[in-house]
Amino acid sequence: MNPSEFDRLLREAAESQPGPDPSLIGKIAGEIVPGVKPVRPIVSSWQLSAALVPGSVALALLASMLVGQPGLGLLTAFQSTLIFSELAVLLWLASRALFAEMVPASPRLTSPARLATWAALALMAVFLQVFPDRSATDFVHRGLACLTLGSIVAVPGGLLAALWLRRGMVLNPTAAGAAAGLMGALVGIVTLEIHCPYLQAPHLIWHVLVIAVAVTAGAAIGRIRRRA
Amino acid sequence: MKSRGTMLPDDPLEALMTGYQQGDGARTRALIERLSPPLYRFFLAQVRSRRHADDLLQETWLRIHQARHTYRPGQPLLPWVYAIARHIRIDHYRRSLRSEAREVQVETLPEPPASGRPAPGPDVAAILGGLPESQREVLVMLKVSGMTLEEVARATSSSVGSVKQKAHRAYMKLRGVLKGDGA
Repeated sequence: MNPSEFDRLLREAAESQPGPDPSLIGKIAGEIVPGVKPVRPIVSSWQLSAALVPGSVALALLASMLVGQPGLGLLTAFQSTLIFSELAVLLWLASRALFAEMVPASPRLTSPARLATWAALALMAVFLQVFPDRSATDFVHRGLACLTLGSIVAVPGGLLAALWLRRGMVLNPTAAGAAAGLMGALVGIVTLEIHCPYLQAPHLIWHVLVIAVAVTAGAAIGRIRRRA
Repeated sequence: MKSRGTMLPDDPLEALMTGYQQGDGARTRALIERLSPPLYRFFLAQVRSRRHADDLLQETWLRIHQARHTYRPGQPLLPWVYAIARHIRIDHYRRSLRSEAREVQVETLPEPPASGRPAPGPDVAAILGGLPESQREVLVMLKVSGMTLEEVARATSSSVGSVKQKAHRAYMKLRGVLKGDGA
């Protein structure tokens, strides 16, 4: 049997399938049509990014003003340009991933979990490139402090993204939670890059670890909501 | 409730959906009447129970109603609708797995295939029954719902290549099954 014969068989089978009971269609229409009201279509992905990315940056700036900005003064122009440009691009990509999770069937570049992995690798690559110091003074103690701060700041960042998610229709809460977690994590990392005075490459692993913490937490919250 | 223009049954689905977003009752009704049969067949081809297909169809329309603002005018409608429909079916499948795990099966009562109206031709669900979930879903969208590869890719959040691969594997498996049956 060749593919066109398969097609014909399936088409015939599909056509012979019983349709829904007309009374069921009438019932559905009777429930929906009388109360149907105009709604405004959701914003485009560009509009979402245009609102969410500056909002996230503002949140990170506010957080850094609260905890101090010693790190910013220690960065060279080259370092700060490269790091903050990369973070801006990642925030934009994360906002696109968030949009894909709130609008059914919208085109997606990749899954939020995969994007988070690529974001972590890209950040680590840039950190290794721009920070030549490979020493690791007080590695765990300093690292845990940064991981904690980044994760705390990720919470409002993730909540801001979650507020946007509520405006759409989330079909996969786990992936949507991961996307919101990634947005939050990037807000946390922007804050850390402004705040953290330790410019040793090994220490910056802890900054990148914020992504793992926030994305895992976001996905777990989404999973719990799905099961609820 | 507003109504604009005539020839509603011939309007493209996207125009009917835009009317739905604008609160146009006649276009909303036309959309429900146009989309319900293929959606129903999509469910029936996978759950093999009219009662479940009825429930899934109603649940899908409830979700479509809640999510109607997320349809972007100008975009193809079918991927948007089927993305919602397939998640409803997946949720239904997960719920039934959970309840099956909790319940102690005392007796299995077979569901009548089509109450009152037996299907005259071959049964899609029976033909596709041996396929894995993801391959069956792709084949139903392509052959029962008549969607294009691009539309199926968008509805299933995957690439066109992946859809092609799943359809090809499904064909190969079906060929084996039908050969075994002497087809």
